[in-house]
Amino acid sequence: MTNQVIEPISEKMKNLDELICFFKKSSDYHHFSPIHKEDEIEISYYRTLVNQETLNQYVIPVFQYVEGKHPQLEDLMRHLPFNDMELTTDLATIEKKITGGFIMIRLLKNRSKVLMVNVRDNKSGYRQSNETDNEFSVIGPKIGFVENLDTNIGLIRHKLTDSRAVFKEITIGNMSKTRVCLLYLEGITNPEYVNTAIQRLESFSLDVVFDSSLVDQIISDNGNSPFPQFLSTERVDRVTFAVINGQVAILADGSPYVFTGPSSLNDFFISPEDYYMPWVVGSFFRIIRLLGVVFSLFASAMYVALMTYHFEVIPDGLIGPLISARAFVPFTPLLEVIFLEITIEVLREAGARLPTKIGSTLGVVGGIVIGQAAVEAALTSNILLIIVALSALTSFTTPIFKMSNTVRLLRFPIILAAACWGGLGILIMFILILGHLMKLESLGSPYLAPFYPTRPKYWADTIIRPSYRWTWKRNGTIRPIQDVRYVPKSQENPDHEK
Amino acid sequence: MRYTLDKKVTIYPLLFFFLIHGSQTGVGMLNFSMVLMRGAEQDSWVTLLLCGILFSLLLLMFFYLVTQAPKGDIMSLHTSIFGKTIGRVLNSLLYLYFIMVLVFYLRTYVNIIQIWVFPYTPIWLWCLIILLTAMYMVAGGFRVVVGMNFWGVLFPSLLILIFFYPFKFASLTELLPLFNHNLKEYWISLKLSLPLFAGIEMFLVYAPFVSIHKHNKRVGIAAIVYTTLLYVLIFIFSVAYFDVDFLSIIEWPTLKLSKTISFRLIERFEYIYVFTWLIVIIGPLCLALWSSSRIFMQEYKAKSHAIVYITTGIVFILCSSIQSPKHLELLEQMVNTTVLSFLFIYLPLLFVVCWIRQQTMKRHNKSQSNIG
Repeated sequence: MTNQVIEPISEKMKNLDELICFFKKSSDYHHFSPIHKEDEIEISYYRTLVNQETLNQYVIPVFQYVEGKHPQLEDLMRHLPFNDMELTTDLATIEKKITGGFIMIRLLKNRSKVLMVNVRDNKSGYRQSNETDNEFSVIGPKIGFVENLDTNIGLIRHKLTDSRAVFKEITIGNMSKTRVCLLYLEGITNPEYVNTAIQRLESFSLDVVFDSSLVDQIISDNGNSPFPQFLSTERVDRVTFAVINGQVAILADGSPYVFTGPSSLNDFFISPEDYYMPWVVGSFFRIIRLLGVVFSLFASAMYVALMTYHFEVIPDGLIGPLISARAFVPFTPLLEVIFLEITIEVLREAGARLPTKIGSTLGVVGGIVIGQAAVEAALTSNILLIIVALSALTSFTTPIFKMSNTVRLLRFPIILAAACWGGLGILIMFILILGHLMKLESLGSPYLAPFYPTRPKYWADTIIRPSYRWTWKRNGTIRPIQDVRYVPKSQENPDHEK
Repeated sequence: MRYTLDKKVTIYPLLFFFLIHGSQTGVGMLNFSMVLMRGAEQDSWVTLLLCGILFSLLLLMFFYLVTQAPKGDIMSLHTSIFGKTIGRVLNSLLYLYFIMVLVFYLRTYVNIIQIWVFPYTPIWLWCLIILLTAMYMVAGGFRVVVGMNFWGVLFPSLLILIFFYPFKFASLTELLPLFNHNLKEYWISLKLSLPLFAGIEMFLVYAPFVSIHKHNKRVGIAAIVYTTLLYVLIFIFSVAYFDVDFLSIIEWPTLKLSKTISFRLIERFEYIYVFTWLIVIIGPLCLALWSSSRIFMQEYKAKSHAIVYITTGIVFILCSSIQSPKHLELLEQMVNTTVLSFLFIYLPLLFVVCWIRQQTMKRHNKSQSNIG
């Protein structure tokens, strides 16, 4: 049964003519003889897949040239100016190549042998450029990946002019036959990760690969975790940075998102912009981001715990404003917080689904009008409004969208635990998350590295962004084969050492 | 040479520090300075130092015991010395010992929660949620258990820094006069402070998971030194802040000490302490749960997850059945006596037996080789 689904149609066909008859059912399939006289050559292809211009300019003239000379397929092969050509009699190969944008050339004299020529149109229907709108940075390159795999590989190759960069290609999807590429640096990336990744890529099947995130989810170590185990990005510099540090990158055709791994939790809170600013400023922003995540996770839960159980902890000066703000609110703190948090989530979701122009208007309407009205209607207190708005805002500081989703999701169980068991509930949730993170692995490498398993040697580029004088070594927790990235100037220059 | 497991499951040598130190800290740290007032009063810091030395010797002894065991842990040592039947009985007793320790750790912490934060919530609820958390960790394997000990040392260390806050109200002259107690009072203090340092006996179970490194012993002793310093520091702070007379009547002096801390945003700092102490307590809790499950697993060759669940169930029933403070006190006395007799009577005896066995084996080998 399962085999029947995946089996190509050519298995059922007896000969090539039958297969061509089947192809002809489709209106965009062309099958004709370019030379009317004697009808000795016929070509066929999917009009929508091949590049018409190339066909007219380079293929048809060859036919005209050989007209009347009774050419063999080998002669044609010599005259055609293409490199991706193949002589074959195998029906399955023919079917695969025709649907992949090849043209089939057949002689009437020898009806079973055909010449397949690649004239696939690689560019049509694709964006030619992409600004990194979703992972914006003020400083730094703004070019992002597009849907076309070859363009993406080119973008990386332009940045990484090194022959050690190897792209390994695998085809996934029995209907889409998507090309998936794995990039690594020979002699730097640990081959263990390359093997694991390839093994996992080969061991699953899909019908259509819509986006690289499908592959990402399927080859993840723990598919039930809310945490993303691969870092997916549309920035070329990010992928390059990951690869030169000894990670592998996986690209899929038709997806502007490339994912890299093995990644650790810390990688998700690093923005490439940190490296484009002076290290002091970069470190400052990184710390702000990390504090933002902590605030986003625990602030509203703490409000619930404090207002429900531990109001003794609030000092005298603060308890007055808090109580007067809540005096007319008829709900328990939990309901109040959940109401506001859900409102913010709904606003975010609506903003994400709507066209950009309406979305920004909605943000203003939702944020200001609903917030203000909710306070005036005594549905929530204005202090809580500040806390919830801030924690929504801080969750967006996370540079990787998938991780910021995780942060926003994890807030809810923490709030519920805080409502049930107060401060102890928050701590229990914190410990559970910590335990989960310690169990988690990305491509077999620990997720919480270098904090746990503890490697203080590699703590430098985690919470702060150190100066380039200190980051000349690769992160050893992912065990690269060669750990020196570059030689810092102070070491190279003998005068400096004196 | 000590037997260790495959390199994939053993832990990094540095983490041994956190295991030893993590297993030594517990709820006792919050209350010990008041308890010590029954003995040598302000001079009890001497006995704390003495405890550090004694436990360092004990750790060295453990290292010897472990090298003598065929499988690198106390279970295999028992069976190799006493034979299968007696070994099994001893291992089962050890399993019960760890369950008792587990119940004690958990119940004392729940006691603090009940006294300080939630007086009306039933005990079983706290026991259940903390045990479920610990069970989740232990089900993740030894690596996660070690990790919990690691974080349990790291996070609260930041809290200890805040202890310098009440120091400006303290006067160190409270520690004077020095050495005005007789030996009997020191003896009482010593007996009271020894159980505080207990927990390192779990090393006898997890030893095969600690990879061999030339600094193993040094790291372990450094952890004990750190524990000792921590206890001495807190003791000195408590005595210098409260005086001896007052300290002998107040409960939970370490938490009371933290009450003096207040910021613009947080009043009643002891709440933070009580909650954060969960991270401290969950480390040894997980370790004890893991150790007891490991003993059972090794002895009866059972599946590990089921054993963890069963052990958790037993601990839960025992913990929630201890309701009144009187029972808790009884439990504390029982645990203290058992721990002391296990650490300072049984294990040294085992050490002597081991040593004699090794000597006779050596002689035997020598005589055999002479004959040959």
